[in-house]
Order: sequence, then C-alpha cells, then structure tokens
Amino acid sequence: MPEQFTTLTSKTLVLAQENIDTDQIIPARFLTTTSRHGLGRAAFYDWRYDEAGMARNSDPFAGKDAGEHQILVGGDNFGCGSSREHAPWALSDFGFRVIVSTKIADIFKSNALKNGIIPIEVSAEIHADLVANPGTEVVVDLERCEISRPGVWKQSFEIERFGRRCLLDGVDPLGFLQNCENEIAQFEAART
Amino acid sequence: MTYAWLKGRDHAPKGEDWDRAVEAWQTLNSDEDAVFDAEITLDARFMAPMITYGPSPDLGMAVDSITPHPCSDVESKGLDYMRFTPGRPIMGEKVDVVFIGSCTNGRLNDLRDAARVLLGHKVHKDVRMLVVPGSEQVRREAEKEGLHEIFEKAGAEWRNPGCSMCIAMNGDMAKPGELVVSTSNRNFEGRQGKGARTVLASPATAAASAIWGEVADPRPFMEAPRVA
Repeated sequence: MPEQFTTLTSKTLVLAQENIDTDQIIPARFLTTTSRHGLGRAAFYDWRYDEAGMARNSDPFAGKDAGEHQILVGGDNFGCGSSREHAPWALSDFGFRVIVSTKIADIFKSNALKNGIIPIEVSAEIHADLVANPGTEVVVDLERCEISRPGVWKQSFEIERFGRRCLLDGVDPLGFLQNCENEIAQFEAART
Repeated sequence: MTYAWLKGRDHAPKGEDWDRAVEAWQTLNSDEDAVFDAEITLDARFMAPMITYGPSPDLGMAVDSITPHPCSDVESKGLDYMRFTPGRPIMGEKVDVVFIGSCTNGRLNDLRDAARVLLGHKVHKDVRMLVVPGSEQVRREAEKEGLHEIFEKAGAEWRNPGCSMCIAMNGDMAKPGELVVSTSNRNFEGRQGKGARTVLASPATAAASAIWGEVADPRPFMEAPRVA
C-alpha cells in the first residue's frame, strides 16, 4: 500500500545526465527478487560502488541523507530503456518520493506513479534552475498539482488522474476498489 | 506482409474466420488525409547494415562508416565508454563475444540470415558465439531446417530459447571491457555484464563479425548461396 502523499517539502538531489536508463537505475543482476524491500542499496549501484563493492569517489549520493533528499532531479528522458518495475522500487526504497525531469520515459513514469513516486515533468527553464541549484528546497503539492521553489518560481504539472487520486488517498488501485465495496455490492444487487 | 506472416500461425483465425478477420483488419488503414508528425522515406539501395557506436540504441551508424565527432555530452560519453575514437571506423575492432537471438532478432528468418553467412565458415578462435532462438517454436523449426547444425559446425553454441545475454541475469554475460556484437535491442552501460561494451547489429552483421573476430560488414557473405 503506498504511503499517502499530499505535499512534500524536501531538498533535491541532482543527476543532470540525460537518458538515465533503467539499467543504470538498477542493474539487471538485482532483478532476481520479487520483493521491493531492500532494493535501495541496488539503486544506481554501479554508479556508487566499484567492482570490489567499495564506494566510488564519484558516488553522487555520497554524504546525502536519503531522508533529507526525497526529490530526485534527473536529466532529460529519465527512466528510458527496459520496462522494469524494480526501478521505481529501488528509488522508492532509497527514499525518493518525487522524480523531476524535462521528460520522463513513459513506462517508467507509469510504474513510478503506481509505486508511490510522483513523476513530474517541468519546463526547460525550471529544470535548468534546479540543475544549477542542487540541494535547493522544493515544495510539491499534489492536491494542486504544483511544484515550486519557494520565493523563486512555481509551476503546475500534469499527472495521470487516477494515480493522483490513489496517492492522495494513500491506496493502490486494489485498495481503491476495496474502498468501493459498498457501491460494488449495490451494483451487483441491482443486477440480480 | 503482416497477413502473410500471421496466416496459419497457431493462434491465428482459420478458414472463413481468417477471411473475415483480414477484411476487418483492412479497414484499419490510415485515412487518405491523415497527418503525421514526420514522414521518412528510406531508399534501401543506399542503406548499409547499421551498428551502434555508443551505449544507447539510438547512437547508430552504418557499419562501413566512421564514428562521429561528438556534438553532445551523450555522444562523447558514449564513445568514451565504448573506448572508440571519434572519426574512426568500428569495422576491424576486435570482438570477444557474438550474441544472436533472444526475443529480438531470434526469429526464424534472423537465424536463417545468420546461418547463411556462417555456412562453410568457422567462428574465429578468439570469439565465443551464442545463438538463442526466440521461442520453442522457432527452435523446433530451425532444427527442422538444420540451422542448428550450421551453427554448431561453425563453432557456435546452439542454446535453448531465453533471455541469455540480452539481460545477462543468468550467468551468460561478458567480462568487463569485452566487446560484444549483439542482436538484442538494448546496449546500455553494463547491460551485458559490468563494463561490457555492446555493439548492436543485425544477425548477418553479427555472424560476419564472428567469422572475422572483428566487427565486419556482412554484405560480402550475402553473395553466398542460400541455405536450403
């Protein structure tokens, strides 16, 4: 069951590279699990650890507390490549709740939303500002579909409506159906 | 073309149902005045077999051409990862592994293409070549035609259908730095094993590269007589 999401104020973590594909987000060798728990360690594994499993100097997440940085700003075409639900699982388990880019690849976007991550596409200007100011505080308001850098800019974003509804209520699609049990029972009764 | 492929397949409609289905499908054409975002015309007479020079399927070039001088970060980082020099041919680069098949390019006609190139040749001694049919059905049909014998005689491994080196999850993978000519459809960094460098290519190009032990143009081999 995804955690309810209404608004979030958090710092950003910026990975400005374009075309970050799902093989980078979680390398295929970690896909043998069907559980989403603990996959945070596999997120961007080959970017963070070398062959011996030691942290790389270039680890973009080094010293970044996941709880403080819940908004990931990625380069254009974030999440392209293989359809892989483990990608949002890994990012979510790592602690991200929002992905921001100028373009988020379609399948990843849909997988993310179903797994409690808000995929937000912003204009090139806003994106450039976020890339230029890593770690800045950003507010995401899912009720109003607005993202803002307080005092600097505010922009509305598009999001698939049913996914948004589920996240506002803190349910997954099955949970949504279960909440409709009375209506379903009434409908069934009227038919028989 | 699609109808010809579908006709007689396991789950395709049969008899009168087939005629009715074709009639229904033929109503699904685009309108005469349909507008498209872009219309692209390709002249196959002037097209060379394509390969990739960087770790993304869209970083492609003709097999007999040279790598581009990068005009973006993506291109220059891609060439760096692949250890290719801008403005140089990729043909002639030493190949460690050739992978043909999995769900992409593991159709019967793909295996026929590769077999036609390999017939009468040997896989280069420094190359490991894996051939993985796209499905059980394809495997059976290929074996009926004797394609597996051509592959095995040439020194390639004839394997069961599956993902194999496309996703490198099950032990079929390349070592860091190895160059793989692969007919799968993804070549992202580390996709075929950590640090593995993938050149995407057609089954014919992959087979020609296996023979030469280096990235090679398959066209000279295509003159050879067809496999029965």
